[in-house]
Amino acid sequence: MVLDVTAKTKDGKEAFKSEKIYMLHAGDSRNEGDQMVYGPANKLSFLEDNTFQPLQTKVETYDIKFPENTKNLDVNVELRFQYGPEVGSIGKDSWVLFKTTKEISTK
Amino acid sequence: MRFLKLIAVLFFVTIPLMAFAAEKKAKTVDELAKMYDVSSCKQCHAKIFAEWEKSIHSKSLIGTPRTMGGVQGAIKNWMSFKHSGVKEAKDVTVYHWTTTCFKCHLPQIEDATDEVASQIAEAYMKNDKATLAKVNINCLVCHNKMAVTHQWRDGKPEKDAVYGTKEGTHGDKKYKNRKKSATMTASVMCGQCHQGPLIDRPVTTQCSTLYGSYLNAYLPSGGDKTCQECHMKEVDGHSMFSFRDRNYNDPEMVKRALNVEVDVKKGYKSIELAKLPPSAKVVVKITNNAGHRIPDG
Ligand code: HEC
Ligand code: HEC
Ligand code: HEC
Ligand code: HEC
Ligand code: HEC
Repeated sequence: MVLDVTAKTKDGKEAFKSEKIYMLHAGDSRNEGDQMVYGPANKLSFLEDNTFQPLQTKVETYDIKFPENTKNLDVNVELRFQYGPEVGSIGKDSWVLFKTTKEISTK
Repeated sequence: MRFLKLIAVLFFVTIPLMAFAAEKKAKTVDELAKMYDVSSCKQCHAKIFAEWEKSIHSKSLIGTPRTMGGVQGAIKNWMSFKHSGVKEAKDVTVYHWTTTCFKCHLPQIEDATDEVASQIAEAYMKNDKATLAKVNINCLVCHNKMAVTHQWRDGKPEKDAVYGTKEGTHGDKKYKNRKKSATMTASVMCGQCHQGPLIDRPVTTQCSTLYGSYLNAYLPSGGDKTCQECHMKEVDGHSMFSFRDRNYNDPEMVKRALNVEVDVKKGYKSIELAKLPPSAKVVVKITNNAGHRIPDG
C-alpha cells in the first residue's frame, strides 16, 4: 500500500513530495544477513510490520512549506494498492483506492 | 500350519487394502483433475461456478501469475539444497509439496502419487501453464476435502457428500448427499490455508499470514465477524473479493477496507523568525475496517 502526498504551485511546480509504503517486510529464513526477501520459500518472520492494523487508525502528519512568494498550493493525496516499487499501469500493477486534491493557503 | 494360516490371512487382508490404496491415488495430473472434477456442479450452481472461475482460487498453481514464479524459485532452492532429496525437478515428491507450497495451493496432492508430484514440478520448470491450470482449489476442495477440521471426532469427509450447512440428499450423480459441518461457517475454514508461517517442518515457509492477524489483532480489538460474513455474505455472494479483482470506483467499497480522511490546516508564519517560509499541516487519517491487517494474504 502506498500513500503519495504532493503539493504543487498553481503553475504546476512541485513544492513537496512524500511517498510512504506500508507492507510486511520479511526476513530470510536462512539467516543470510539482514536483507528483505519476497519469496515464500525464503521468508521467515517480519523485519518490520507497518501495515494498517484492523480496527486501528493511522495518522500521518505532513508539514508543507510554502515556496517564496507563494500563497496557495494544491495538495494531492493518493492511496494505492501496489505490488512493486513502480506505479506501473493502473488496474494491473496498482489500484487507486483513494484520491483527493485540497488547497492550502497562507492567509 | 498356524504360520501358513497367518500368511493366508495376511494375504487376503493386505491384497484388498493395497488394491484400495492403489485405486485411491491418482497417477497422472488428468486423473487427479478427474478425481476432483467439478464440471457437473456448473449446471445447477451456475452463478457460484462463474464467480469461482473468476476467482484466484481457480488458478492456485499459477496465481497472478506470481505464484508460478514463486514456486519455480522454491524448486530451484530445493535443487540447490544438499539435504532436500531434489536434484532435478522430477525428483519432487508428494512429500515435498505437502511440506510446503501445496499444503495450501493444492491440498489434494495428497491423493496423488509421486509421479504426479514430479509431473507438476516439471510443468513448472517448463512454464507449462496448460498442465498447471488443470488442478486448483475448487468446489470439492472446500466442500469436501477441507470441510471437516475435527477428524478424530467427526471422521474424514465422506466420498459421496458435499459439506455445507444442511443435511439431506443432493442432486449431483456422484455427490449424492449433503452433510452439515460446523467448519464451513467458521473462520477456521479459511484459516486452514490463510495462515502462517509454517515452522513445524524440515523446511520453513512463510506465505500467507492473515489468519494470525485475524486472531491476534482483529478479535482483541472488538471485531466479531467471520471471514465468510465479510467475504461471502455482505457483498458478492460466493465470490471472495479482493483488491485486485475489483475496480475501486465505488467509494463505499473502499470504505469497507480503508477509510481515508484528509484534513488541511491554514498556513502560518513565524513571528520571530521572519525568514522561515510559512508552512501548513496536512493530516491524513487511515482506518482499517477489515478483519485483518492490510495488506496481507
Ligand atoms: C442436479 C443439480 C445439482 C448438481 C449437479 C449439483 N448440485 Fe449442489 N445443490 C443442488 C441443490 C438443489 C442444492 C440445495 C440448494 C438450497 O438448498 O438452496 C444444492 C446445495 C449444494 C450445497 C450447499 C450445501 C449446504 O447445505 O449449504 C453445496 C456446497 C453444493 N450443492 C455443492 C455442489 C457441488 C460441489 C457440486 C458438483 C460436484 C454440486 N453441488 C452439484 C443441486 C445440485
Ligand atoms: C475457498 C473455498 C470454497 C470454494 C472454492 C467453493 N466454496 Fe462454496 N462455500 C464455501 C463456504 C465457506 C461456504 C459457506 C458460507 C456460509 O454459509 O457461511 C460456501 C457456500 C456454498 C453454497 C451454499 C450457499 C450459497 O451461496 O448458496 C453453495 C451452493 C456452494 N458454496 C457451492 C459451491 C460450488 C458449486 C463451488 C465451485 C464452483 C464452490 N462452492 C466453491 C467455500 C467454498
Ligand atoms: C485450500 C486452501 C484455501 C482455503 C480453504 C481458502 N483459501 Fe483463499 N486462497 C488460497 C490460495 C492458495 C490463494 C492464492 C492463490 C494464488 O494467487 O496463487 C487464495 C486467495 C484468496 C483471496 C485473494 C487474495 C488476494 O490477494 O487477492 C481471497 C480474498 C481469499 N483467498 C479468501 C478466502 C476465504 C474468505 C476463504 C474461506 C471461505 C478462503 N479463501 C479459503 C487458499 C485457500
Ligand atoms: C470485517 C470484515 C472482514 C473480515 C472479518 C475478514 N475480511 Fe478479509 N478483507 C476484508 C476487506 C474489506 C478486504 C479488503 C478489500 C479487498 O481486498 O477488496 C479484505 C481483504 C482480504 C484479502 C486480500 C488481502 C490483500 O491484502 O489483498 C484476503 C486474502 C482476505 N481478506 C481473507 C480473509 C480471511 C481468510 C478472513 C478470515 C480469517 C478474513 N479475510 C476476514 C474484510 C474482512
Ligand atoms: C499455509 C498456506 C500456504 C503455503 C504453505 C503457501 N502458500 Fe502461497 N498463498 C497462500 C494464500 C492463502 C495466498 C493468498 C493470499 C495472498 O495473496 O497473499 C497465497 C499467495 C501466494 C502468492 C501470491 C499470489 C499471487 O498470485 O500474487 C505467491 C507468489 C505464493 N503464494 C507462492 C507460494 C510458494 C512458492 C509457496 C511454497 C514455497 C507457498 N506459496 C506456500 C497460502 C500458502
